[in-house]
Amino acid sequence: MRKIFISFIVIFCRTLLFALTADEILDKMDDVRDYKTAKMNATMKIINRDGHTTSMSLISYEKTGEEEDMSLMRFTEPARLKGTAILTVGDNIWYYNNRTNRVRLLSKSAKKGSMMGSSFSYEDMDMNYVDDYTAEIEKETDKEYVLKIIPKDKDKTYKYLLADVRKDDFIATKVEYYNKNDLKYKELISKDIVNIGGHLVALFVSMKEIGSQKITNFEMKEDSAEFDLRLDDKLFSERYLKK
Amino acid sequence: MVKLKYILAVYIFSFFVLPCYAVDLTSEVILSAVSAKKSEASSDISGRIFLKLLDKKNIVSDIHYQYEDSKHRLNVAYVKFLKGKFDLVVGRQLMAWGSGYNFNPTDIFNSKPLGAAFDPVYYKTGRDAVTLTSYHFGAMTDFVYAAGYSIENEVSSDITIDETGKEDFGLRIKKNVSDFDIALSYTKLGEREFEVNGTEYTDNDDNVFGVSIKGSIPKIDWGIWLEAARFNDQEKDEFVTGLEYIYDRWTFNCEYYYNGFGSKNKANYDVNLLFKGRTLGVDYIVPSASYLFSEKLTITGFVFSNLNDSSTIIGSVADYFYNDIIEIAILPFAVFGDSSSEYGSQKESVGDFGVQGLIKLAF
Repeated sequence: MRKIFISFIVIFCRTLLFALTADEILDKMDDVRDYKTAKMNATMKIINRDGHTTSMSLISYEKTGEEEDMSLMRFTEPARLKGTAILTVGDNIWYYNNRTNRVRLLSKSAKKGSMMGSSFSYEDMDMNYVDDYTAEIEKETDKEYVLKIIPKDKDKTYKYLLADVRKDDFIATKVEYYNKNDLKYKELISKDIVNIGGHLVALFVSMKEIGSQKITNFEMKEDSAEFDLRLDDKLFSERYLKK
Repeated sequence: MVKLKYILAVYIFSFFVLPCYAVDLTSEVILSAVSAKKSEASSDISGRIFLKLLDKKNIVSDIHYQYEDSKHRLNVAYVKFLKGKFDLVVGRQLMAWGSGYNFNPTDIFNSKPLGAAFDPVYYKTGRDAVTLTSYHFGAMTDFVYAAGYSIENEVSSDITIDETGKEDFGLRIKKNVSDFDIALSYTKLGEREFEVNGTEYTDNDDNVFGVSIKGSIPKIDWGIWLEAARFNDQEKDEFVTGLEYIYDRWTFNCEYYYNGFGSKNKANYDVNLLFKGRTLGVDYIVPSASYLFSEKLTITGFVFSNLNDSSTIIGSVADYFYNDIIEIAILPFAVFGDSSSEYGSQKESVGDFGVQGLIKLAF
C-alpha cells in the first residue's frame, strides 16, 4: 500500500514537473514552423455554398527575416490572374498587375480584408504564435490540448482562437475563430500532415466561413514544397515583384 | 466579319501554334457593347495575346499583341536584363509612375484615360523606351529615355485626334521610408502636337518635377496618398490626394484632384484640354465604394464630380467571373449637369444615361 502511494506521488510530481504551460505549447507550435525559407506550389480552391468552385494556382516564397517576415506570391492560373503578384514585408502589402505594370502599396487595413476573395485574410497568412499571442489551456486529453489563443493586438478581426493541438507533434489540426461577440465565424482544418525535409507540413488546409458557408482549400503536393532553400532578401522587393 | 477573322486568328494561333514552343501564353478576347439614351448602340470585338518569351534569372522578354478599335498593335515588346544591382529594359514597355488611383500627374510617358481605374479590361498603352534601373542604398532609381511617338485616336465617328510626341527623358528615385513609398521624379517632357479634324495644337516642351507618397495613417490604418507634378515652364501644378479604407469585404476610396491647367469658370473652359487628355475644370472629387460579394462578384459604385461646374458622372461596375475563362461586366452610368458644364455637355451626344457591357474570355 505504501509502495503504491509513493509511486502515485512520484508519477504526480513528474506530471507536474513536465506539464507544459500554454505559452510553452505556443512555443512548440511555432517551432514546428521553424523553417527559415520555403517555396511552395499550391492550389487555392474557393467553394461557395452552392458547390461552385473557383481555382487559383500560385507559387509562394516565404522567408523569416531578421526583423520582418516576407512572402511573395505569384498567381499562375487561371489565365485572368496570370501576371498578378502580391508581396508582403512585415505589415506592408504590395499588389502588382502586369496589365498596367503598376505596383500599388495597399493600405494596412487591407490586411484584414479577404485575400483574392477567399476565406483567408492576409492577417490569417501571417501568424507568429510566440510574439503576437498569449494562450490558456482550455482542455487536455490524452492526445491533444485545446488552447485558447488570444492576440496581443486587440485590433485583430478576431477576439480569440480555440486550437486543437496534437501532443505528439504540436500541429494545430483545427482552429476556431471567435469574434468580439464570442461567436465562432471561421474554422480552419489542417490534414494530411507529412514530413518534408524535417518539417511537418499540412498538404491540405481548409478554412470555412460559418455565415456564408464558403470554404477555401489550400492544397499542395508533397513534391511541390521546398524548405530552407537559399532565398535572398532581394527576392522580396518591387524588382522581383514585377519580374 | 473582318474583325472576327482576326480574332479567330488570335484564337487559332494561341491554341495550336504557340504551345508547340512551350512558351507562357495568355490570350484574351473582349466583346463589348455600349448603348446610351441618345447614341446608337454599338459593339466591338478586340483581342490580346500576352506572351512571355523568356523568363530566366537574368533575362526576361515579353510580347503583347493587341487588336483593338480595328487596329493591330504590338503594345509591348521588350527585353529586360537583370545584372547585379541594375536592370535594363529595352523596347516597347509599360511605365507606371505615381501613387494616385484615378489620376497620375507624374505618369507622363503613357498616361491613362479617365475612368481607367474602374475599367475591368483596362490595359495601358506601351511606349518605345529604354529604362535603366539601379538598386542602391535601398532605393530604386529609374533613368528613362522614351522615344518619340505618333498615335491616332478615333474618339467618335466625327472626331479623330492625331497625337505626335517628341522624346521624353525621366528620372525617378523611389524608396520605402517608415512604411511609406516615396518617389521624387523629374521629366523633360518633349513637345506634343495634336491634330483634331485638321486643326493643330501644340504643347511646348516642359520640365516636370514630381513627388509621390503612399502609405497608411498610423493607428487607424487608412491608406493615404499624394501625387503632385509641377510643370515648371508652363507654371502649372497638378496634384491628387486620397484616402482608402478596407473593412471586411468593403473598400472605400475617395480622391481629390487639382488640375492647374483648367478653369474654375466654365465660361473659360479650354476645350482643347480634352484633346490633350486633360480635364476642363480645376477641382474634382471621386469617391467610390466596392463590395466583394464573393470571389466571383464585385460591385463598385463611383462618382466623378467637377466641383467647379457641379457636373457629375455616376457609374457602377458589376464584375462577375462566370468561370475561370469568362468574365462579364456591366457598367451603367448617368450624367448630370447643365449643357455648358464639362460632363453635362456630354448629354447632347450621349444622353442622360447609358450602359456598357463586356464579356472577356481569358485562356
